[in-house]
This record gives sequence, structure tokens and C-alpha cells, in this order.
Amino acid sequence: MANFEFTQNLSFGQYLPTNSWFHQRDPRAKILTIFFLMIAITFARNTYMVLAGLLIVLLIFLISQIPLKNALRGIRTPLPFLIFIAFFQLFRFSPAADNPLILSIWSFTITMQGLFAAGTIILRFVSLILTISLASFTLSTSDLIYGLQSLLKPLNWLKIPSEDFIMVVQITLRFLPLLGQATEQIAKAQAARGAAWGVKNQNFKQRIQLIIPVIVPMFLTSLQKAETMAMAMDSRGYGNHLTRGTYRQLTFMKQDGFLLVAAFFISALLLFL
Amino acid sequence: MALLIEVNQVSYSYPVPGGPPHPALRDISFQINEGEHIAIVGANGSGKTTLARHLNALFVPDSGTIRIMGLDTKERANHMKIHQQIGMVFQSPQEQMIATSVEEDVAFGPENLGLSTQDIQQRVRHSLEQVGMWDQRTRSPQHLSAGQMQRVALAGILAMQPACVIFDESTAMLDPFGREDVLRNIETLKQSGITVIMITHFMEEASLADRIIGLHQGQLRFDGSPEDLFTDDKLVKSMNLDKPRVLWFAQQITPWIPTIKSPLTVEQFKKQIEPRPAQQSFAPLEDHHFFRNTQESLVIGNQISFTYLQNTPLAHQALEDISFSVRKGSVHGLIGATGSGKSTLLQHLNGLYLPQTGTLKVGPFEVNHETDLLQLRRYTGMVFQNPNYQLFEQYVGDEIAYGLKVLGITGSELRERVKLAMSQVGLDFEEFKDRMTFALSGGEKRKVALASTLVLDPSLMLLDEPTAGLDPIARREILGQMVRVHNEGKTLVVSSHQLEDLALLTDHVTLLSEGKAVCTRETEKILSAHELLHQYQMIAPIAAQMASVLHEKGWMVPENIIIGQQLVAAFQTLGEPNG
Repeated sequence: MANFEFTQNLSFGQYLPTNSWFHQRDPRAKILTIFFLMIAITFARNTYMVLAGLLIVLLIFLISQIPLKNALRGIRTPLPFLIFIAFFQLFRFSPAADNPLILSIWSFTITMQGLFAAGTIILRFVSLILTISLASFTLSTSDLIYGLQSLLKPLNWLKIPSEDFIMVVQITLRFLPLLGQATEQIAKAQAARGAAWGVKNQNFKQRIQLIIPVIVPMFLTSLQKAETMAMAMDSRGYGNHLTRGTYRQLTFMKQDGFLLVAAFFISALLLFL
Repeated sequence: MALLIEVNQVSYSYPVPGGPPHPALRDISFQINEGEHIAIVGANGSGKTTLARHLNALFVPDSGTIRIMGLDTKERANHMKIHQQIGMVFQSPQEQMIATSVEEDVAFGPENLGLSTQDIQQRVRHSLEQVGMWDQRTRSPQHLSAGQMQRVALAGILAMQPACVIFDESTAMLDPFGREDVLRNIETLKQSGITVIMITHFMEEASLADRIIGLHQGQLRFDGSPEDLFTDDKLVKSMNLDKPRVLWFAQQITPWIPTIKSPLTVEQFKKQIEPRPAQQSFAPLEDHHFFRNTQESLVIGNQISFTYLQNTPLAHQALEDISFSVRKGSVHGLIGATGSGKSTLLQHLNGLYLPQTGTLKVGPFEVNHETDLLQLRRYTGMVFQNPNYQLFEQYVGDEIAYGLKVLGITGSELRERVKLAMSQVGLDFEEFKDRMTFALSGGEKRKVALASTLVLDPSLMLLDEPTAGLDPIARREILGQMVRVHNEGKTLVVSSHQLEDLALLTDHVTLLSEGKAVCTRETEKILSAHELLHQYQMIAPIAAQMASVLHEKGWMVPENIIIGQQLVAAFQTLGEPNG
């Protein structure tokens, strides 16, 4: 169907201000919590620990009062790819005494361990995707920027300009919707003059052929936009080599400390058990 | 008064790859004092924006000097001070927003000044309150209307506590209310002693300034009061400009009302007319429109609704139960404030969006999921609002040929049809076919966009804000092309904030508000209904405003006047003025 809303299926960048206990925490505590969880889920060796990680992420969803429906939408798109990857895991192991054979087709064998490995990989990716969407539902862009700014400040001692890095993040976040809009407008302009956008019964190749002519003008308009934005930044005094001030001052409270310590220990448990 | 800006014999050229540099400013000198209100006018490409960017040190002159409060813009060390003192609101609202929320965007400038957190918060609050956006402070810029974005942009500059604000065509993309809003803010700035420099294509806006600086092909052609400029017909014409419409019409009825002394605004016009002791009556307006349209409807929409981002937390209903019809052979107008759903509705007519509920019939097509969209889009051509996003090929010739190439037309037929379409919009084939699309002027881009749609010979043409951001001459040309296209038998649906344009072009107008169709009526009925328009944040065309002023004063001109010629014609029916 004709659909020019390219940003629709992105679950990222959809902050849901439910004003829950988790939302109210200091951005730095939230960022670190999510960071710890991601490390733990990525590197946990034990399937049960990955499952526990998933349950903890779901628990935070509950605390943050975010309807699971929103979270699950983010999984739907990558799911076929996950199943695809998991499918190969099924055949990874050969049967042995402690690894009973379940099914064999020609020379391919599906074993208990293979089944486990496939389950783990799906579980791991689903948990990771949910953690990322948790981040986007509970961290506003301003949380992210001011939180990172504060967390990365120590880098300045190593003469790494962390503020420039933060500005890059900020501009990127600002530019994503602009890019989406530009793409939308170009695709519409081409569709209006006969390109087959939104036309039914197209095969994969035809779809790809539609996308290519959009890319070059998209980069061109993006560059123009970027130039204007650079000028706007310039005219508001950016890059004057003074120390920048900050609009938001973060205050780290006891409860934030509690969250951080809890997140740290839980993640450590997931990793080493 | 203290001297604020000193421009001394400034010249500047843009480098052109593989060619001689393109001179944009030639030997310009003038001075601006603190607290002045200045308008910079000139045709598209006359160097206005280049000049403005010199005034806050974004550009540095090739030769000559610019001093701002005595600081030379050539010295890099002075830039911080200059940027703080001279702020600039750009034309396109989108790209000047840097942060991802309103308050943080306003804080950007003060943050760069290295102020304390408390100081920054105070300034952000103060300046957002000043423009009336404090309650929207946590919203993301992409969810604001263009008018709101311009307000935030202004707040971002006010937070720097500048001595001067430059508005670079800041009103070009706004609806009439958004424009009035900016003008009101300018008035407040003036009162607090801030120097205002505005670049504009609206001569009505320019005449609000104390002083006008007129550019023509990079040269300073005029520096003086608005009255001096606009009463000099020859000069105005030589600069490719127009008089304010009020003045234009008023001058023509001066023989009958001798107290009129070159008014530039409706306010002045009102002041100059003495109330008549006895009412002067006029014959009713002759039906000026030559209705070539039949009763047959080409477009029938029935209870169309559409929601963007349906089933997401960001869902936003753009159209609600819209029913309307467009007659075959007519020019149909769509009006309404920003965000009322005009563009969304237009994009339904060629199947870029499909109605989520309701039915829509366009010519022989029922627009729904079963429609052959390629055929529908060949039947209805669409010219979008902003030509910058519409042109995607590198060369003008390729751009216009795009639609034909998609159809598989090649060789001499392709060439002939492109040539024909270009001549229809007044572009010379040989001169323009190899020009780069992005280097064209605003007016030329519109023409290319129009030609690239005309080349496909659609039966129904959809035009979204066809004259926004054009100088008066280019605007008149585009309107002329549209009349020609209509006379060739095509049906047009035009959405516009410029009610003057619709008054000239359309026979029926549909008024939209917040996604609903308020009413569809004959153009002259709807555009002369001051209260109705005002209720839905629109402003009647100037001729209609003048007619209502005349009415108050006892000149009972026909109430349905919407274009200046009608006003003049009404007076001509009185016979020769004899006092």
C-alpha cells in the first residue's frame, strides 16, 4: 500500500513520558543501568541467565508503565531475521552421549544442544532489542544528551573533546526526522511523476530499483540542510572556544544510587553465574 | 543615535567551480543606527540574503569593510561578540532548530556564551514567555507548525540579548496569521530599542519599516523612506519590484477620493478617507468570472478521513470527514491555516495517500487500495509546495524529462515534448536545458517544477502553495502560467495562503480548519466574508479589506469585491470625477 511515512516503523526515538519511578531517575543512572544490562545480556554464558535478563527487562517495562504492546512492535520487524539465524544454530552440533539426537534429515542433525543454542540466540536478541527500546521509551533525547555529557566529561582530562562528540549526537538525533522527511518528499515527488511508489504487486527487485534514485537527491538536500544548520549554529555563537554552559543541571539522589548499585549487582550476577 | 553597523564599499563574489566567480554584492555602502527598523528589498537573486549574512559576520567581504559596533568582521576574534549582538532568524524554520526540544534549542545560544545554568534557565524562560511558547517548551521541533518554529527561533535569539535582529524572509513560509505574529513581535522588539532588519518579498511588510534599502543585481539602488521608493514608479519597475497593493489600488481611485495621499498600508488608507456625509451607492458587481466549468464534478470526496502514523503513540488526525467536490474545468482553491490539512487533502487526489475511511472519486478513478495508482498519477499532476524537495535531477532537461522517461518515451519525441513544456512555462529550451537545477532561482525552480508536471499532460493539476517565497514579478509570471494552463482546458486545484492569488484564479474555494471542511463557496463570497475568514485564522485579500474600509466611510462599493480591478471598475461606473 502507498506508505510514505518512513519513520513509522522505527520504534527508536519514541519517548513515552509516563512519569514513572524509573522515568524520574537521574539520566546518568538510567543510561548506566541500561548499559550494564546490555553488557550482561550480550555476554551471559548461561541460557537461564539470559532468560533472567529478559525477565528483568520486562520488570523494568512494568515499573516504567510502558504497555508491552509498544515494546513488541519493535521485535516484529527483525523477527524473520532472528528466526533465520536461529535456524542454522539447530544444526550446529553433532549428536553425542550427552547430546541426544532429535531429528535427522539426510546428513543434517538436530540435537538437544542445537535446539538450546537456537532458543538462546532468539532469547538474547529479543532481550537486547527490548532493552534498546526500553532506553528509547524512558530516556528523552535531553536525558540522553545531558546524561552522556556528564558521563563523558572525564574524557576531557585525556584531552578528548567530549562536548564536540555530544554535539554530534545531538545533531544526529535532530537530523534523523529531517532525513526521513526529505526522503518522503523526494519519493512523493517521484511518485507523482510516475515512479511506481506504493504500487501493488512488486517484486523485490522492483522495490530496490525505486529506492536507488531517491538516495542521491536525499544526500544532496541533506547536505544543503546541514549547511543551513551549520550557519544557524554559527550565528548563535557555537564554536567560540569558551567553556559551554549547560541548561540542565543533573542532581544525583539516593534513589538513583540505589538503582545504579542494584543494576550493577544484577548484571554482574547474570554475567558470572 | 549611536552607529550600529557600518558598511563600507563592500563587494563579495561566490566562487563558481570552473568559471569566473559570480559577483553577489558590488561596492555597497550604508550605515545603520541603533533602534532603526530597516527593510531590505530586491528581486530574487539581487543579493539580499548575501548582504544580511555579511551583517552578522557569517560571510566576510572580499573587499571593503563592515564594522559592527566598531568591530571589524574580518577579525575572527570579534565574531563571538558580533554573533551575540546581531541575531538572525532564517527563512526555513526547520533547519535552524538545533536541539531536540524547544527549551534546549533556545538554551543553545546562551550555552555557547558560557553562562551559568541559573542564568541560562532564566533567559530561556524569559524569552520563551516573550514569544508565548513557554507552555510548549518540552515539545520536539518537528512537531511544531512553521509559525511556532519561527517563534522559537526568535526566542533563541532573544535569549542572547542582542542589539539587532535580522529576519531573513522569515515570513515567506508562514500563513497570514503566522506572518502577523512575526510582525507583532517585530513591533515589540522595536519598542524595546532593538534594531530590526528584515528582508522581505512582501512590499506591504517592507512599508512598515522606517527605511528601505533596495538592492538590484548586487548593487545598492535605493536607500530611503518607503514613501520615496514606492511613489517612484520608474525606480520600482527598474528594480523588478512591485508597489504595495494598497498603494496601487488607492492611486487609481484617488481621482474620486482626493484626500487619499499614497497610503502604503490599509491603516493609512483608512485614516486618509473622510466619512461621506451621504452614502454613495454603486451598481452591483457584474459577474466577472467567465465560468467555463460545467455542473459535472471531476472530483468527489465523501467523508474522507486520514490519520498520520496510525496506531502509534504519535498518531495525528489530519483529515476528518471531509466532503467536497471540484467541478470539471474549474479552478478550485483550498484555504486554511497551517496544519488545517490542505496538503494532505491534495496528496489524496493523486493517490499519494489513500483515504482511510470515506470514498474519493477523481475523474474516472475510485481512489482506494484497488486503484491503478500509476494511471491515476498520470491523470493528475502534482506540483509540490517547496520546489527544493521536488527537483531531484541534476539538469533541468533531465528533470522535466523524468516522467516521460518513466513512461518509456525516448528520442525526438522526448525532446519535443520537453521543449513544448518548457515553452509553456516560459523557459527557453536551449538556455535552460543544461542548467543545474539546484543553482536556479526560486522562480525558475517553480517553473521547472510546473513544466515537469505539464510535460505529462495531466487532466487535473494539483498545486500546493505555488507562489510561496517568490518575488512579486516571479509570482505574477507563475500566476499567468496557471491561467494559461486553465485556459487550455485543465482543471486546477490550488492550495494557498495568498488569498490575493486565489481571488484572481479560482471560482470556488473550500475552507479547511483542523482537518475539517468548513464550507465550499464561490470565491467572491468566501473571500469577502471577513468575519468567517478571521474566525478561521485567515485574512481577506487587500482589495476586500479596502472595500470594507470604504463601506465604513459611506462609499457603498459592492460587498463582494475581492480583487483590485473590481474596486477600480466600481468607481469607474460613477463616471468621470468632478468633485
